[in-house]
Amino acid sequence: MLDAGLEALQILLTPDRLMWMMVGVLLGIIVGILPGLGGVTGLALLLPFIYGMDPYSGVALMIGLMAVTGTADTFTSVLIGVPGGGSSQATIMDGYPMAKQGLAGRALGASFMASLFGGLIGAVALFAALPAVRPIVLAMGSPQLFALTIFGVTCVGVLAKGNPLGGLLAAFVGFMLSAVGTAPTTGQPRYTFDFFFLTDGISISLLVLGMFAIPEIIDLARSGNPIATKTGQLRSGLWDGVRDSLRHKWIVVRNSILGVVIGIIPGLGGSTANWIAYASTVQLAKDKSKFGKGDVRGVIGPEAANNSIEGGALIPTLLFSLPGSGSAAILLGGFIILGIEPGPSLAEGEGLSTLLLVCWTVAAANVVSTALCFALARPMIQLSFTPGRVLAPFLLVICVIASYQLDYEWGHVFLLLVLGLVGWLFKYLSWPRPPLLIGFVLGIPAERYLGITMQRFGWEGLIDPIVLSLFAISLVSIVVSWRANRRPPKPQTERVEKVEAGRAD
Amino acid sequence: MRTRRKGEAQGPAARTAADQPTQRTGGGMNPRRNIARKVASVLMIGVFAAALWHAREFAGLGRWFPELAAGLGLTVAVVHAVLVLMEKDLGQAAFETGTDDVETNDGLARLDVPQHWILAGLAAFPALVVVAGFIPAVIVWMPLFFHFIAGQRWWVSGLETAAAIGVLYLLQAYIGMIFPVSWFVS
Repeated sequence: MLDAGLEALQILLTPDRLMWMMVGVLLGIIVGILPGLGGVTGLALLLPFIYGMDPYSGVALMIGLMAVTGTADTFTSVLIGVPGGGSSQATIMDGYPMAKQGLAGRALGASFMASLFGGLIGAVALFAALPAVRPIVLAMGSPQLFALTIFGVTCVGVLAKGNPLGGLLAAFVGFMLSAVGTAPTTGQPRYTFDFFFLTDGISISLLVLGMFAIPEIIDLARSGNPIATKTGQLRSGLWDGVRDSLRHKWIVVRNSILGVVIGIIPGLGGSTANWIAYASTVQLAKDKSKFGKGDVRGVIGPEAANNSIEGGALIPTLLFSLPGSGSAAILLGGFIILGIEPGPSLAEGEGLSTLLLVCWTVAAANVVSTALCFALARPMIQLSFTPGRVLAPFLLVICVIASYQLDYEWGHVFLLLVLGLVGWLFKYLSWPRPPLLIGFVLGIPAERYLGITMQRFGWEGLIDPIVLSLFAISLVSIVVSWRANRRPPKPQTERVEKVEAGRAD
Repeated sequence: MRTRRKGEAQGPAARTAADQPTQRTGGGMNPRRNIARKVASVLMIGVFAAALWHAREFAGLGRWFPELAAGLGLTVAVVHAVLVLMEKDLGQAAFETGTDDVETNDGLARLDVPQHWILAGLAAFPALVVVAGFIPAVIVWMPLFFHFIAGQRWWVSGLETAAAIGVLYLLQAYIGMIFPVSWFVS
């Protein structure tokens, strides 16, 4: 195994393969930064160019791109509150408030470092999981996946902290939006109102642009102020962020492992990992009072998970030909184009070199992309100091064009505007928007997996040790959220008064 | 459009009362927002009721999820609306502040532009895209927005628009991005 690993490293360390990996990394950073685009778009754009390429160079190119989009999409999430991709949605919860406080550098530094560790842990997991992963993947049937999505739904309680009823309402709006389009079980169109573009459902990137980006653009233009209303430390901020990641190393490790596990399970994807990582970071923190207002732990947790998920997602994709996400499905197609047959044969003989090359490329691409992102960070941070009315037109142009790229349909542009109005209304009314995203992201798999469970096993399918354990964990999560909502933290002044009274006594 | 350079007279008459957004007043204190919240809470009942009614048309397994989600959502919406109408304090999610809590004192904006002109300026872009197509809309709308709403000089507005067009050209040339032409043409 060790010899094969060294051989794979030698294959990667040739100039042309390193160059292709760098091209992949650069493209990954570009599509990661552009809101609405992501790994799926980037890989889809690459596919026509890999025909006839040397297989190892092709692998380096594709894995280089796929591994880094989760690092680069943090820029827009932190700096302008617009998720660069589905896997950085939860990062805006604390990253954007940090940027508003002039701490964008610290948020980015923490995020890049957490992403680096997450990516490396993902690569190690991919390497280490070779002999052990088969039983895990085979143990996860549709009842278990349904139970896992229900656990994800309990995150609503955490994300709606302070207004649980509003959060629940928003989550149900998200469930309803996820029901738009063709029913996964029957193929019947639902809530499409005879609009053809709605038959595929509402795109998550469109929903995010509408619910988060458009309201932010309106407010930026209205206020005229830059995003950062306070001047923070630009230079030292990045290194403060690095130190934060090192200080909260257990959050990094825990969420990286969580990302790998969610990545291994086909069909859940980066958005789910991102939100579950955020919610678990909040739930397990002793002091929860700063989350949502700019707590660096709220950046570190989801960012570690969204990079490690790529390593995890590659395990079922390459070893069992089970793509865990859209980008993994395209990658699978790319491997076949290159003449590499994914499947158990990759874990032995000549295939092992390819698999280990993938591990090395994931690790190297993460290191290179982190270095590039650090280099890009300072000029990018200036965005948060640009006057709002100068920034808003650029962002509006990007949102409109990103919505059109989904299917080249006008309907998506109109839907963006409608969702933007809904998002603005939610913001105006102080109704929490993140639970709506959770409802939307988890509504689709919840329906699909429960449908399959009912068809194959009936209700008996849910009586299973793993399913029951996951339901029990969900119940604990609800109780913890309920208790946290029930006991708001005592105001600082009250505490000070008590301390002073104690001193007087 | 009546605009005023920073430094010119900016008395209380510079904005109408409707334009004047509330400064940070804390959640739930703004009466206009309270009324909007009540109206929206009641409308939300209508949305879920309509979704539940519509779900009856779906067949077999494709029906249970919309019915369940709409049914439970309707229940939550009713409870929520009742509490909002009774003016119970539902609390404010840690992650949300009302949009009118945003500081709008134009501290760094170079022009004092009425709020409705800003919103109209933003809405003009998608309208122009529909009428003229994406690239012509960018060429016309961006410099006008930069000059009249962001308060940039004409030449700066032109440069910023040229930069945007340059990036769009690169995206079109190198990653094959397709831009919408006029809705009437397509």
